[in-house]
Amino acid sequence: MVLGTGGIGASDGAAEPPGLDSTDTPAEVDAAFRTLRRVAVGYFLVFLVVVGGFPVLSLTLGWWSEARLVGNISPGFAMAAFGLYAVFAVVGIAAASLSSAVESRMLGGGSSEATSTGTEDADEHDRLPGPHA
Amino acid sequence: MNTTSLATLLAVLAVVVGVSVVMRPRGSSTLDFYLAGQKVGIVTNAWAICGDYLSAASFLGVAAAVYVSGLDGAWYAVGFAAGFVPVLLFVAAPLRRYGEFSIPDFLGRRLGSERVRLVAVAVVQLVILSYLIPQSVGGGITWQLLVGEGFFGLSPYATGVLLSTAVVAAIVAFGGMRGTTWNQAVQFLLLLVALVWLAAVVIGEGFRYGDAVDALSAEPLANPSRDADGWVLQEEVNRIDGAQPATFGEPGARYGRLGQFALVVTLAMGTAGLPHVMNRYFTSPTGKAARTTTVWVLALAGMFYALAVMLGTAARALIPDAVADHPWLEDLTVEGVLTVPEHALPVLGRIFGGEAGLGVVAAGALVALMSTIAGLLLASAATWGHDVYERHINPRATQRQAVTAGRATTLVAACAAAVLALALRPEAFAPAMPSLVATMVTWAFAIAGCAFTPVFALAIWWRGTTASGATAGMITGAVLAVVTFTTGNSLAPSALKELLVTPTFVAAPIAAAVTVLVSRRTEPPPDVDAAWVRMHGTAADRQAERLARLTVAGRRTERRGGRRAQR
Repeated sequence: MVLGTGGIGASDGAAEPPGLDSTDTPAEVDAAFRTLRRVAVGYFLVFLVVVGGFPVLSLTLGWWSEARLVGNISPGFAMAAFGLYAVFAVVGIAAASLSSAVESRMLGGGSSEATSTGTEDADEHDRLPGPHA
Repeated sequence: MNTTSLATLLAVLAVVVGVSVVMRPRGSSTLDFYLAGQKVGIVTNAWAICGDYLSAASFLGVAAAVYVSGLDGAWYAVGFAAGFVPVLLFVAAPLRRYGEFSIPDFLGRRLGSERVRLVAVAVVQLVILSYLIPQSVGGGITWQLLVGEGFFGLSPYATGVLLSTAVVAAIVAFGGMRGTTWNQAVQFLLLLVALVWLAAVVIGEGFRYGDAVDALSAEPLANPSRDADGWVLQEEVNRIDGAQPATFGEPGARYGRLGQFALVVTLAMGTAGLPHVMNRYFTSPTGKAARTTTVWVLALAGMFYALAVMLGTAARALIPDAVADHPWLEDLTVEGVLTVPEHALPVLGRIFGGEAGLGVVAAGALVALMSTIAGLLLASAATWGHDVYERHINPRATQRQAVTAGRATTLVAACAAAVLALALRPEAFAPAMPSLVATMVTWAFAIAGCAFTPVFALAIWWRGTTASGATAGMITGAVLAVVTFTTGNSLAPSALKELLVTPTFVAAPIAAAVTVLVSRRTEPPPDVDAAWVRMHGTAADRQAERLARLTVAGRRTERRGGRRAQR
């Protein structure tokens, strides 16, 4: 079954060079989907802890507002001024790298794994590094 | 209007018009007009998304919110920047791989329902209008400061609103997504240059970030308020600890315990539902490119917001001492504090760079709002032209007719936004809101985050989502968002008000729950497996990458052949 090539600009009717695999089976995709969902949810929890933790620290920890770092700036203000944006970028880079690695390992290989069940594939790839590992 | 202001305006317009002419659509198809042929590269698209996203609310509004509320104003920057993390994790790649024209088109096809499409069109228009109005307000404010004169008997504010909206509407109607993409990319770079220049000048003049925050926090935070006798400086109430005065460097000047978190959640979750930003993902060549683009956006937006927060602080610290040397500030300030906080950056530019400095910052503000207005109008055109006109009004429309319909709708949306912006007077809102522009944009984020983000996430990540569930979820989210922030704005300051004016924290989970409950009672579309393979598979990505490699190899071969022939 040839799937995954639909959509605007996805195939444009171009002829596929012989010997190249350009299809994904539902089982392969299901396995990758489950792993990607765990990656996304894992990093989202990290994101929530960072974003939610900031006001909690501001309200509960006096040191957070009163201490002074380099440049005479408090840890709380430093995080709002530039620290959190750096954290977001790091979370983004890590999540994107892991998601792309998962996709390249689990999809488009054309291996016999493609015919196995999605759950088995998901379990197989649960050992990938990530925030859930 | 002085020569510098005029030169600035003309230079901005020349760049915008020039880019639109050079990069106008090459074909007359809807794919060209709405999606730039889906061939926009990663870095270009990241710049364009930043141009699209970093609006007047970000450029004028974030600095204004920090200026007027200190640390509590920085929550706007945090929330706006955080928004692309959920986009990257849950939306960017699958959305692009499904490869449709607009949010309504995506939902309509994924769930196999024209009803879902039409409900989504209505919500998209609501979000776009809520977002367009503050951009037009920003145009009026910038014109007031930069030019200070009205044309045709209009006030400077009204002239700015009408001119900025009309110019962008004309450019979008002409340039389509291709011209708009390059305009947004160039405009973002101009915007960044303006901020970096201002930051460098301010630091060069001796501004020290930590010392400034420290000095500002040493005394109670006070802002201008208008009473029967005119403007007076009034101390802000500390919303966390009423016994202590509110200060610049600590939370409490604007939000209580719950309000801070509710604001960040509303902004962070709203981004994934913004039609003009999500439409840009459809222009990426592959899902992987869309994901990588988002990483670039996170880094660039972070840099932008860090600078905006710093400059809001700088304005608060430096303007009071500048009044004595700059008499023109007396009309704009009360005891050294600006009456319209959105003036913070332009005033800072004028203090340290004279008329040229004002020109640079005002040009930044103009391009910020122009690029966002462009994205919003294009998103509006895509939904009306593709989802309504092509699908329901004239299903046999030619490509040319569909594009013409899209162009016409940009003008209608622009007129509606301009008329509503004219009805507002920014200075009347200053005492009640940290920044009128930023606050109004928050409403757009609230509607998007309550109505679209939960439904989007479920449609992409849960097979059981149905058309009825999505329809119920979108309607619930949109109605809850509008009712709660309308109700919240009529209340006296309290924890309940803070929750109601930034309602995503409560309303989005309710909308998600309604979507799940209704979906469980109805049948999912029959082709969900095919949708899953298309959305979460990478076959189309691999094929597009392979074709790109073949194209590059072919061009190299052609060039080598050409060189041999010349020898």
